[in-house]
Amino acid sequence: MGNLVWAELKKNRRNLWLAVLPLAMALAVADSRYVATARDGVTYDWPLVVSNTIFLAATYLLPACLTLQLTQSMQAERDNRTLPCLLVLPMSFRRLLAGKLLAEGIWLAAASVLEWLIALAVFPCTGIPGLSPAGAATALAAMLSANLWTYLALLPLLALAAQWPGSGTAALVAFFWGALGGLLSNRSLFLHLNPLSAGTALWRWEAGRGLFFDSSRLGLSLSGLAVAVALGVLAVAAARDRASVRHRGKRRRHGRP
Amino acid sequence: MARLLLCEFRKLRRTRLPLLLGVAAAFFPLFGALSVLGGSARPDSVYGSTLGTLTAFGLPFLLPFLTGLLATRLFFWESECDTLKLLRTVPVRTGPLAVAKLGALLLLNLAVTALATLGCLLAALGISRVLLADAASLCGLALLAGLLQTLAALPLVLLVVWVRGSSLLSLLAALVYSIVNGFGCLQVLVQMGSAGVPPEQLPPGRQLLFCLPGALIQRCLFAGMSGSPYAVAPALLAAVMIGMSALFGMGIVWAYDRWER
Repeated sequence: MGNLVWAELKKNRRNLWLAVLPLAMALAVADSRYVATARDGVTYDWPLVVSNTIFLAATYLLPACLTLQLTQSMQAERDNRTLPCLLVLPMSFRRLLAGKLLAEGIWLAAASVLEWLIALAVFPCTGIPGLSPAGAATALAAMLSANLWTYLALLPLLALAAQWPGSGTAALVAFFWGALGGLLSNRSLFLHLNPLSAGTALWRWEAGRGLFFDSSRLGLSLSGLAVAVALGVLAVAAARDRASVRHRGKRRRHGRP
Repeated sequence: MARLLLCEFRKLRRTRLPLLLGVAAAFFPLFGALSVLGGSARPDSVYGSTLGTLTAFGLPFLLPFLTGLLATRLFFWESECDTLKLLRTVPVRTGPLAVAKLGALLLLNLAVTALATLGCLLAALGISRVLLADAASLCGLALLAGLLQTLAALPLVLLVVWVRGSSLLSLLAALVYSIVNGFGCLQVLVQMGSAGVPPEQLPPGRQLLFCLPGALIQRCLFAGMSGSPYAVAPALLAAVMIGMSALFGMGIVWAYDRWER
């Protein structure tokens, strides 16, 4: 599995979609900085802009970007006709999918570190106060954990979407799920009920500002994540290339073996 | 033109897209229902507020992405299946074809908005046995916002058709456009609802934000009647939208015409 993950990471170097996650992270930081120019009576300091960045990335950007990246990666195997070669190695489709999922998780962790570095460079240099060593360390841990939580919560959709050709519709569903969850998360219970946004509520920032940690709801959030991961593992375990199944069906109808 | 439009809809039957759009629209009442079942919201208010959220915040985020996705599908299909050449042999001119595709895109966006709105109303009626107050005006406002936000996303369609890149590039452009448009609209609403600083006293970067098409829609729909310094007259918004539709519509036809040259 290690070799497979390494091969997937190396394959990504050829492709445009390698840049998708870093661009999404840079966009999250830039948008959060732009929001901080609002004259709405709020003092925007390091904890608040970091929590805005985490929320924006985890709910609005990552679901669609992760789905696009994985489905495009699997579609490239079909388009380049490397999928049949991989399957005759022999390597099962579910093993290939698991390798791609793990590689995507590793790339997401690297992109989260990049997000933190961009935030460290942009926020203090543009006049956002309140950065301290402890605050910076908490921000790194929060970004990593919230982004990886989102990735785990999205596993069922990722595992299902990669089995069919195309990427647009899965990305649309992921975007709707993330964006609507983000919009409706002002209802505090819903923030924890929705696995995609529950990860953003893990960290306690200063009271009344930033993320909204509620320890009494941690069990609810963890249960939601556990269900999502279980569904994801089941989807990976039952995964097969549905495009080739459909193709085989067409060949049979045309009287070919 | 009507037959061309019908053809565009028939082409959509090849995909799972209409089904998935229905599923995506059903997310709206589902989230409200979860809040009701979790006990965090009152049943008689949650669907009204979900509809309000849909109109004020949801559509500026969701419709540009949907528009980008549909534009990618509708315009790229002909090239992928190599049917554009055949259509031009029929002969179908590129102009009516592009207009039919834009019409299909607009109608699909309206259908998703209508489905989401209807879903909220039916969920309110089915789960909480409450007929929402002002249901008709809420539906009207949602459909109007859906129509206007689709027209405001025409620059994105022009970009998709003009660049003619991969579908990944188009989807990424749609994602960035929807985030920028959505957060721009959100910022306009926050600014309108907070201190009431006149627009001319804002920094130049923020003043520009208030002149973008999405922001003009928010300013007209949600501050038009309140006498706020941000209010935009409906006639001005209508003029801007008609001008924008004509300009970008012609641009899209021109860009699509270049595909086969």
